[in-house]
Amino acid sequence: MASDRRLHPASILFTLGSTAKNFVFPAIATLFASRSGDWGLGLGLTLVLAPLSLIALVRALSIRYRFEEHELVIRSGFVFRSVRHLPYGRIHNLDAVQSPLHRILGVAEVRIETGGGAEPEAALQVISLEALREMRYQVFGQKTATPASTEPQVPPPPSEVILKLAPRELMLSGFIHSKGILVIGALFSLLFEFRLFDSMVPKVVDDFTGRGFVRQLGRSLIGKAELPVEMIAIATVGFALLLLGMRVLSMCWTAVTLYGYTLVHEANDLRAEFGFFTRVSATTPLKRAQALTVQEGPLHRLFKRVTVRLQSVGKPAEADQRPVREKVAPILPRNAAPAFINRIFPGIDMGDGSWRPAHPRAFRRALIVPSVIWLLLSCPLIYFQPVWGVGLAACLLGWAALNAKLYVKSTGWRTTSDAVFFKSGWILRQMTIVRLERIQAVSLRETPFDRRHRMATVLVDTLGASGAPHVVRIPYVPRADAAALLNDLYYRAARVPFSV
Amino acid sequence: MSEIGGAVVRHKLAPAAIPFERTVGWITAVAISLPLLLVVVVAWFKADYPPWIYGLGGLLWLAITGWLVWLAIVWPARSYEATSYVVDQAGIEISRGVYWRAIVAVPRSRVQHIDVLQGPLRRKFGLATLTIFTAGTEHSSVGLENLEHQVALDLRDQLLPQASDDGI
Repeated sequence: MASDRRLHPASILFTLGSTAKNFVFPAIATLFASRSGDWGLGLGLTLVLAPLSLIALVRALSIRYRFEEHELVIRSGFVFRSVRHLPYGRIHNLDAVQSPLHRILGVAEVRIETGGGAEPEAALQVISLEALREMRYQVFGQKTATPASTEPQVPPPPSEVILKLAPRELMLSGFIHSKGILVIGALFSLLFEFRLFDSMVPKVVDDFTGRGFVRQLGRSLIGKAELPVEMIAIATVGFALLLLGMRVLSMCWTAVTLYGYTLVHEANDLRAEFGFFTRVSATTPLKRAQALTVQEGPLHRLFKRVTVRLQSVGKPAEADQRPVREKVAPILPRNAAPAFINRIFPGIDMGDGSWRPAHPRAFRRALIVPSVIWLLLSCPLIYFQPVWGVGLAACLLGWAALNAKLYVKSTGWRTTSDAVFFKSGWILRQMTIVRLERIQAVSLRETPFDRRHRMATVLVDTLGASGAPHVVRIPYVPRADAAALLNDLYYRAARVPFSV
Repeated sequence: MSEIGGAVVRHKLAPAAIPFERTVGWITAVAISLPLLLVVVVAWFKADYPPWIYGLGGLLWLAITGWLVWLAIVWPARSYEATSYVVDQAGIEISRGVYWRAIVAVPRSRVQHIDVLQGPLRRKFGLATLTIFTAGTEHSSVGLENLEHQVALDLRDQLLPQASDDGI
């Protein structure tokens, strides 16, 4: 019944390409390093790596996969054979990546993840789009259980576009989440790779601002030199220009990499598709969603936008890929957020929008520790420069008070018939929703200070929360309320089953 | 066991937990205190630091030893008094901590697996450690030390999802 499927013939091309990449770059780097053109080294490298790439090619070509009733079976290898069984129910993510060349040939590279390790459990390079559609249907479409026929028909499952981002929104998103630093980082690493750095850095740093500038600034602070006002002005303008340039780069970067961002709700899965040159299509089953976080920074507020992240089953993916998948809505008008959340968690009870506030004395608790730290830190300055030191300490204490006040004010929680909501933060406001069936454990903690003020911290633990930007850890809850909250969530969570 | 909403039965650890923890406390105290004393004594004979250094060293040793002895004599009983657990239809709720208090509640349906461990010294006292594993992050494992071995085994059997009531 289940017949073996091969990869697309173009796999040869892509496998060769990716193995070649592995030694072309070192080869180029060595060539650059030894400017004299030491061919021997390059030749040696090729001799070593060519057989290795041949092995990789043969291995890639040996891959066969087939769809069993409940699992995907992938076989590979001629000499050392391996057979991998991936139960459909355990597959967390099915990603398809299409570079421009993939698109010309009508194929895609597929990565299958089951949430186990850091590496994808299976990478198929490459299969045709038709095969990809079949795979999606087989892997995720099973729950609606059509009888397994000999040749599965592939009817387009009912799908609904729940978010589509126009280029303007993407530019805005790039402006809000500055990715400029990534672009700059990539540039620097390129410069570094080709040893251009060594000759450029001294020019920029020494001639423009230079050690002289830093030293002069330091001397002026301890009253031994005049404040280099002109230099400070130049440096400030330069820094501002750099920041601006980074924002512009970030806008372009986001507009290109997330070009045509579309989020589709299909059966029980979310599929995000985006990219101008390299098209990515990432599918995540909704039942893997552990928590949802709505983020709102100062720039978000300026444009009345929010970002929505979905915390899925945790896998420490590569740093550059995880955020993209997590941000199911990189940018969203603030007033569209409730409707969007409702699309992701259909029928969720959002409550009446009111929040339970922190304990009335939470401000005092939140103020004391930072104040002590700031005071200790400003002691040396007070010793050397009493006037400046006391002024600075006063400013820092004022800041600590403002911060504590606003932080406590921004903290709130509520429970509804099927979820717990927690919000915190005043510069970056974050609100996280955890549904009852996703709660793994609930805990309550009291430090001696908490006990004195009769308050406690309540933590709602979920799966894969280690890398999450915001978890439900509710501070400064009045002790009696905390105990009630713990009992309420515990008993209600116990009544709904959990299934991964 | 109590039903949800019924009378809550709060269990304590095995009473043998106190002598066991005292034994561990004394072993720790001796293992840390004696070498420290040795350092001070050797320094007294071998090096010639100013006398106040030795005074300070002696005081420090006294403070550390005093604290360790307090941990061995007083602490086990206080820790025992502060620790309790409730097992019911919903799952298990563990309370602990003398100064830093914590309550952890794990619903029965979220228990992934359970370990019952017994070291050589605990076995002598008839004690065991129950470790409950969940799929969570911070509470991926929740331990309950110093139960009577048989109680730990019973708890494990009670908490592990039976095939019949899985999925409630």
